[in-house]
Order: sequence, then structure tokens, then C-alpha cells
Amino acid sequence: MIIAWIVMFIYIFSIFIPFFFAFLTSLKPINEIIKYPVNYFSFKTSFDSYYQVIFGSAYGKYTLNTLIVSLSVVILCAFFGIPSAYALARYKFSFKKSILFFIISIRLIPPISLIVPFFILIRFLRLVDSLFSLIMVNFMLNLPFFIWISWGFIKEIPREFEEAGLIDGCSRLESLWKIVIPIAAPGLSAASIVTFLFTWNEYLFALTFSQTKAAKTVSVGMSDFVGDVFVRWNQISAASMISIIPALIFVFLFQKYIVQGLTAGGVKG
Amino acid sequence: MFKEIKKLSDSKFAIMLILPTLILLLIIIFYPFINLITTSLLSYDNILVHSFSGLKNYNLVFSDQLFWQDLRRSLIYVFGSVMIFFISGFAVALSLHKINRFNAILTGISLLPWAIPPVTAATMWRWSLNSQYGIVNDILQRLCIISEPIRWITGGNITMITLIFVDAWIRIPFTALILLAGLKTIPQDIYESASIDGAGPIQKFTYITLPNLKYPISIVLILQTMFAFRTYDILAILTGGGPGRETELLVKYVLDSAFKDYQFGIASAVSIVMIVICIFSSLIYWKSLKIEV
Repeated sequence: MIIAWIVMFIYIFSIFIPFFFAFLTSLKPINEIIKYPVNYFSFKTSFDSYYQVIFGSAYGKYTLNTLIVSLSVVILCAFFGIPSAYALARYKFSFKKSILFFIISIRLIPPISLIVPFFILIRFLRLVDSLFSLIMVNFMLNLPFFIWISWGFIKEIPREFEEAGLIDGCSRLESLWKIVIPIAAPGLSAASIVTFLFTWNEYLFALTFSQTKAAKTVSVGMSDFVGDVFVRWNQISAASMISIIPALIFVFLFQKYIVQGLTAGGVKG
Repeated sequence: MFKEIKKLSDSKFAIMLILPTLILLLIIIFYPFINLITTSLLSYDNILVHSFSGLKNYNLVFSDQLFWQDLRRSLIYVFGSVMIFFISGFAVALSLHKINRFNAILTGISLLPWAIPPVTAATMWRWSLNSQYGIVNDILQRLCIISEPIRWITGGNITMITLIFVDAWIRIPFTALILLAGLKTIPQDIYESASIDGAGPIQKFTYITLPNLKYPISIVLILQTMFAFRTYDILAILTGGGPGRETELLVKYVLDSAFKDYQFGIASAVSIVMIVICIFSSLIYWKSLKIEV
């Protein structure tokens, strides 16, 4: 028991350090940052860095871009993923096993090896530097995962609910919409939240497909900051704090769903 | 139209539901593969001009000293990270399982490294480990553990270790979560009857806990190994491959040959090598999991 607390303490401390230091730095003026030993308490707190990052740079626009992309991906995944998961969970048809195998094995392809073909395609379609290309790529990367989680949840719903609905005269589509989706809602939320976070956090494709502020995301914006000649760590820290808002919201409000989704899916880290 | 849907047999109805997805997924599998293979046979003079060159790219890659160095470093990176996140993740999972208070808040905090963007995680660590102004050196110096600041990110050999630690830090939550879910499925009375038979904690761990966690352990090890193998964000932000080529990995080799040198052919050839490595590991994955459909 004591060992358990010691382990947790060390682990939580290792999490606390970078978050605390970034938060502290985000509240400091630039001259306080380059003081060593670190000044922990006696400085004038200011929210200038946040103001500068949101209104004085393109980061506000990046945040908006990321939000648009992530939400669109979740909606697309739900639209295509839920019917597919339902079909896989409920009906017998030929090649069902192969299809499931296919869906799970897609997750295992390293995205880095898709970069060159997708870049060539997107350049050919003249879609470089567009949110549309980011939405499509993230949609396709996350769809198998979304189906996999939803399939796991829909499979667990007792068939009697739908059969009752079918006897009452529901069509099969209606029973999906009116019976299965509401019952599977917690599982589907889990899939949606995890999909949202993966898209929000994605870096590789956002980096290679975007060139201007029209399509850059928070991750790309952040790496631009770090690469700048004048590294303003207080502004970078403020940007970091903004980029973790969705994670904070989801982790503390919908933790149960995330844990369910991840352990049910077990398909992505 | 809805009348016609009603007339369909169950299996045709199911295929109708899944067909759009299937077509999409087939496109994202077959297009890149065909494109990768054809591109890997092309020699690029610049971004627009290329000509067919057979297996020349593969020859170039396999005779490139840097490729083998990067592959070696990638393997060290993956192996080091696996060792750290597996042992720490297991320790965290066991602790979370033992502790019965504040579970929601502890799990929430434990999840954070996984939930935030890896770019942000790497950025925050880069700043915390800054050799001049960072908090890590500051704390270590205040506690008199070190006398001189350590150059975590620019200091040669130590950089790779730093990189591995940050990578493992990001992977601990998922590891702990999956193992914790596994731990919860082990019935408590097995432990109790083992205690009556006089088994100590280490015996219980090796004879009850480990065998019962075979499935989650294999999921975690194989998936996380592949995720570590393909990670680019942490490397890009934390070290950028430096100092020198100290932390250059295979992923960076692919990206640099594609977007710095515009050698799409070479990038594709290395991509294919990476896919082959991943397919090999996925086969082990399927063999060891035997997922029931």
C-alpha cells in the first residue's frame, strides 16, 4: 500500500513538473523567464502572453482550424462508422471476418509511410494547404478505430430491444436510429471523444500538408514557435496551455468514457 | 427508396450499410500501396521531374550508411522506451489497482500525458529541461543532487536518453490503463486462496497476476512498440535529430528525403521497408491475440 502511494506520487510528480512549469512561465513577463535560479512566486503575474498568442499571432486562427478539422472528422466518422459498426455487430454476411480483420489491420500501418502517396495525391488535386485535405486524411486514419470501438459496444446490446422495435413496426434503419444509437450512446461518445483527441493532437499530416495559416493546426503552430529565432518561452507556454484545453475537459469530465473507449478498443496509443 | 430498403434481405441490408466505408477503406489501402511501390521505382531530379530507375532507390538506401545508423537508433529508441514505459506503466497500474481513494482524480491526472498533443508534451519538456533556465536542473540543484546544470537536450549521449524518457512518459498512461483493465478481471478469491496456501506477494505476482494478464500485456507491448517506431512529433520538437545526428531516427530519414531533398523515390523505398517491419509485427499481434469475431 505504501509502495503504491510512493509510485503514484513519483508518477504524478513527473506529470506535475512540466505542466506546472509551463503554466508558471505563461504568466511571466519575458525578463522573469531568463532568471536563474527559477523565480517561483515573487513575480508580477500577467496574462500578456495569452493576449499576444491569441490576438497578436496566428495562433487563434490555428486553434479555430484545429477545432473545425476535429469536429468535422468526428461527424464524418460517426456518419460512416456507426452504420458499419452496426452491420458488423448485428448481421451475418459473407467476408464479415475478413472485413473486421481488414479494419483492424489498417490501424497498424504506420502513417509516416502514407505521407508520400497522400502528399502526391493532394498536390495533384491542388488541395495542399487546405482544411479539406486535413479533414479527409484524419477521417480516413480514424475511421477504422471508430468502427472498432463502436462495434465492441453495439455487440453488447441485447438483441431483444431491437426485436421488440421491429415487432412494433420499426424498419431496420429506424431501429438503428431510435433504439441502437441511444442505447449505445456512451460507447459512441467514447469513440467520438477519442477520435476528437487524436485529430486535435495529430502533427505529421498537419505539418506536411499545410504551408500558411489557412490550414495550420495548433500542433504545427506550436512547432513554429519553438523553431523561431527568438524563442519566447512565455508565449510558447501560453500556447501550450491553450492546446491542452480539450484534453483537460475530456479527461476530467468524460474520463469514464475515455477509459472505456481505450480499453474496449485497445487499438491505438 | 425506403420501400426498396425494406425489401432487402438482412445480409444485403448489412452490406448496404457497410459498403461506403469499405470502398473508402479500400481506397486508402490500395492507392497508397500502389503509389508507394511505383514511386519507389522512380528517380527524382527535382520535385517535378522524375524518371524510371528500377530498384536503384533500394540500392541507394541499403548502401547508405546513414540509413543503417538511423535504423539502429530507431531500434534502440523503441527498445529503451518499451523497457521504461512497460515497467513504469505496470507499476502505475498495480498502484492504481491497490489505491481505493481518489480514483477518478488519480486516473484523470495519469491520463494527461496521453491526452495532450505530443507536440505540447515535447514542448513543455523541452522547456522544463532547458539547461540554462529549466525547472528540472533548478530542482536538482536546490536539492544539491547536482552541482552543475545538466545539458539534457544538447549534451551528446544524454540526449537520446532524454528523448527515450519523454517518449516513455507519453506511453505510460495507455499502458497502465490496459493493464489496469486486465487486473480488474482477475477474481480476488484466487489471491485469497493463494494467501491461505502461504504464497508471498512475489509468488502471487509471478503465478497469478502475470499469467492472467497475458492478453493485455501482449496488446500493450506489440501496439506500443509499433507506435514508438513511427513517432515523429516528440523527436521533431524535443531534439530535431540533434545534437549532430545523435537522435536522427528512421521516420526523420523518410521525411527529410521527401521534403528536404525532394527524393520521393527514396522516401517511398524507406516507407516500404518500414511497412514490412510493421506487417511483421502485426502478424505476431494476430497470432498472439486470436480475437474472437
